[in-house]
Amino acid sequence: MLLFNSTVAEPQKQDKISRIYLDYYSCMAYSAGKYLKNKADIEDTVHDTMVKLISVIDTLDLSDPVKVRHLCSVVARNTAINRVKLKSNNTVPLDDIFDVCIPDTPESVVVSNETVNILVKAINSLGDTYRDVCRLRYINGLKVQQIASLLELNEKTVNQRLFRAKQMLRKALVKENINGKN
Amino acid sequence: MGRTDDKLFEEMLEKAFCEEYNQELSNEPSMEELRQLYALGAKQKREAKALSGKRRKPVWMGYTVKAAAIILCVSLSGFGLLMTDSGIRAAVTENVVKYIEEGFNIDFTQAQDDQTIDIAGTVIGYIPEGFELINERTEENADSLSYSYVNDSGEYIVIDILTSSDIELMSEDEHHDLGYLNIDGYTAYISYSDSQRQGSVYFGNSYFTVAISGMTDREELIKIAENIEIKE
Repeated sequence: MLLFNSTVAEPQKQDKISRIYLDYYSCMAYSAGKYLKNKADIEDTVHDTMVKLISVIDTLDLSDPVKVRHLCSVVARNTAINRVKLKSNNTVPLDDIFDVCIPDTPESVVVSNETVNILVKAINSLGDTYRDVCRLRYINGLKVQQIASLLELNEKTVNQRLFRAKQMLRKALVKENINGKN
Repeated sequence: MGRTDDKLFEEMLEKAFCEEYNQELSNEPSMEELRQLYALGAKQKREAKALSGKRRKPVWMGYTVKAAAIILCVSLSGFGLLMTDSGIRAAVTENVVKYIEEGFNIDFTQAQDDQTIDIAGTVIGYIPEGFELINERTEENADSLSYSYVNDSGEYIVIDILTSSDIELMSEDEHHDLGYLNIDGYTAYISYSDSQRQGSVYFGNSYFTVAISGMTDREELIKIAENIEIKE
């Protein structure tokens, strides 16, 4: 915690960091605990997560606890996964290559509950690799650069994952619409 | 695909991701359950609170600590001549180091020591013009209140009210002058740097401490302190 203190000077930022640590420590530890069993590893992961969050502290809005919880969970989980990979000396697997053609979204599609439900179902089948990036983008409203920094990815990879995820979701939406019409 | 479609699709995605996360969250333990599963240690809590302005340390104490350390070292070096046993020397050195590391505690016990307060009823009666409240926070167990104000120039004022006199005061800056005040019958301590135009005022008793830190004139800090209404 003292290390965090030394990284920022402004009281408002220190206050934010402290709030995240006090209110969401358990949430970060829980996310990390799904992948790590050792208590020290979990604490180190929470620490690393905090360091990452500090890098985007300026833009963090703490007014919505659900969004903050989401951000903390995703970053902690990815940090834990990276730690596991590092420990087992596994290389990070390359993204699955998707050869998806870009279908057009029907002109008449409106934001209805039904459409959202179709997308929710499709999101469930996305897989964490794509879902995490998309969630940080759409739930937390983070920029590509920030997502890259939090998930230890390069910006190209983030852009690629966002693009592919959107392609898959568009495809699911179009498929569902075609099936619905038939 | 047109721009309208893109925009619409982005809106749908935002809604869908939020919905999907809410569904996932409903299957996860609540924050309360998580706090029981992974509780923060007392030391970690203390450190985090210190960072957020609780137990804020005024800058003048570092100078005092340094001066005290020099006096202690000089005294001990004289005393050391009398010490022949290495065990005694080690014990004395250890105590000195501990004393310096722990710093000093301002003792508020002499002022209106029989008064307990209801911090929720505390009223901040004055804030200098141009400052706006950006954060108001009450701890879970309601043992502290914190108000943060900021103005257009980015100057801040933080007011912490704690139901404890356990406030450790230490710092690393010798540019602050120390003074004593009387705030509504309480002995108050002020540390202020004219060159940096910032400082802190502390007052309280055994049951509570009010800590005001900010980037404003000395007179304004005192006025804020004088206008804080403590409810018994």
